[in-house]
Amino acid sequence: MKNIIILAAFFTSLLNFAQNNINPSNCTYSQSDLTLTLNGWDISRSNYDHFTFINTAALRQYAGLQYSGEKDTAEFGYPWFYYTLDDNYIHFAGVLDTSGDYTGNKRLFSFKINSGNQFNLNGIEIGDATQEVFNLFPNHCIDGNEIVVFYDQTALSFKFNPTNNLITSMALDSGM
Amino acid sequence: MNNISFETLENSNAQITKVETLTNSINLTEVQYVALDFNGIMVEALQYVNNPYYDNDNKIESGDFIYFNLDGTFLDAYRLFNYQITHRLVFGGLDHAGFSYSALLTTILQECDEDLNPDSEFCQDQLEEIVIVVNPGSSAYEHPIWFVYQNTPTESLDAGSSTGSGSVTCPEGHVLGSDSVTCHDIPCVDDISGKGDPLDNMEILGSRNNGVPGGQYGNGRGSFHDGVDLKAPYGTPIFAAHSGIVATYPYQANWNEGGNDAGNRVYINSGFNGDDLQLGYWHLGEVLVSPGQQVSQGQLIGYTGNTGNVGSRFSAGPHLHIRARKNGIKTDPEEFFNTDFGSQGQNINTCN
Repeated sequence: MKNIIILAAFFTSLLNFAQNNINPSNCTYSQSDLTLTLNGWDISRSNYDHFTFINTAALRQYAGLQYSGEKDTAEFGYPWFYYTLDDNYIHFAGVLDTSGDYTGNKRLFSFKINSGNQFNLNGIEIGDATQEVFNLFPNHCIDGNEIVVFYDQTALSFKFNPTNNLITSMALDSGM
Repeated sequence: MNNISFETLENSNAQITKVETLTNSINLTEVQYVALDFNGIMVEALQYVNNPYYDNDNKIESGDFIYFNLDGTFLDAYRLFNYQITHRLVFGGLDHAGFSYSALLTTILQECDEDLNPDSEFCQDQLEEIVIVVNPGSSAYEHPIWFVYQNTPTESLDAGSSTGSGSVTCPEGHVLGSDSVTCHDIPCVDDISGKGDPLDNMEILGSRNNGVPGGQYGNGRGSFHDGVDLKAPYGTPIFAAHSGIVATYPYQANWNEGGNDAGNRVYINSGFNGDDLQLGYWHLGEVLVSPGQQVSQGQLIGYTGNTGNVGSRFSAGPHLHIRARKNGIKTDPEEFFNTDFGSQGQNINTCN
């Protein structure tokens, strides 16, 4: 039965393949619906600081972790913080109000996890089955070989290999 | 339908034709020259496989197989799944919704069911001309080798070779795109107001999910959008909308994935109506100007690329993000453009 569901999901993706447009109302979640965490870090937290993050996310153990420190504040009017580990990256940025002014808060802005097992989103890692994503997000959209959901003014996408239905990358975007 | 069978003809001596003009362009990498068996009839063709998935024997298990005749016309397209053809695909037209080569291709593919709906628009071939790009290089900064096809041959190239290049001369008032094939108008300037445009035929790009206002300045995307997104396929020439000096910082021309979300970017410091004006040009591919350089209004400064977060779920495709600062204060860039836009972001007074 599980295989049939996965196969149906794949053909649904094929039908959507050519459209490249999805309806967010079919796959939108808010903080009140569920809490999403990247390595245990609530992606909606707006009180980021470097040491709290790397301790919470257990990233100290990775010698290859690169941290930029605060950057690009003069250019954007708010700070940015960049993390890179292998071909994975995480960006934090200042939070703006509706006028575009920096509020002083900082939150996770974007990430892309391409490989390895150092990162997980609510336990989902690269190489897991798409069914894990479907379980976490029963209301999801599919765009080609991507599962897409919108969460708390961000967009999450999970690319998968349709031949084996395994997750190949996870990404979070914020509007800018 | 039958399975697709083909034989790759690498380094063939077969001759294909090349011409210099086109109306539509599609960037295709890894095009192969193949011999197809269509119900027992052998047909020479050019094959591109979009979104392929390979099995352990390095055979393609699934993907979209797109074929072109050697004269450059679209031949046919099929979707393969689990080694079997499951769909026939027909080109439905070009648009700007994709942001990369592969996404562009998926966008223009529409499904055709000849049995159920043979009169569907998706069952009608709509492309009359096509450009096929063969890019044997691994670096995004290498210029691709172009095989351009049209009905009237003017020059011959070896289909199996990876050498050679196309050459296009644009008429006066036009600039060649980074694809080395497409000629673009140089944006016109309002001589009275002094306003200019960074692109020809400007149009505000909508959000992929929120509608047209998503590309405008302000709050169209859930967070503040500090600029305007202008629709621009990959490789579109970008011009200085106003004369000025390229800022020393910020400036970036060597962006890699994981870097700043603005990508390769250039800021040009100008004056306008007695105010200091700085326009920022984001998501560039190739950058043609250097920090401290004086540039003139309408001067080519680079080409659009896919750097930064140009592929974000909150944009609808490839674009130029323009940011404005008037006397250091963030401002809607539309104030400084020659073009005016309608409520849906459409260009309502282009001079091009």
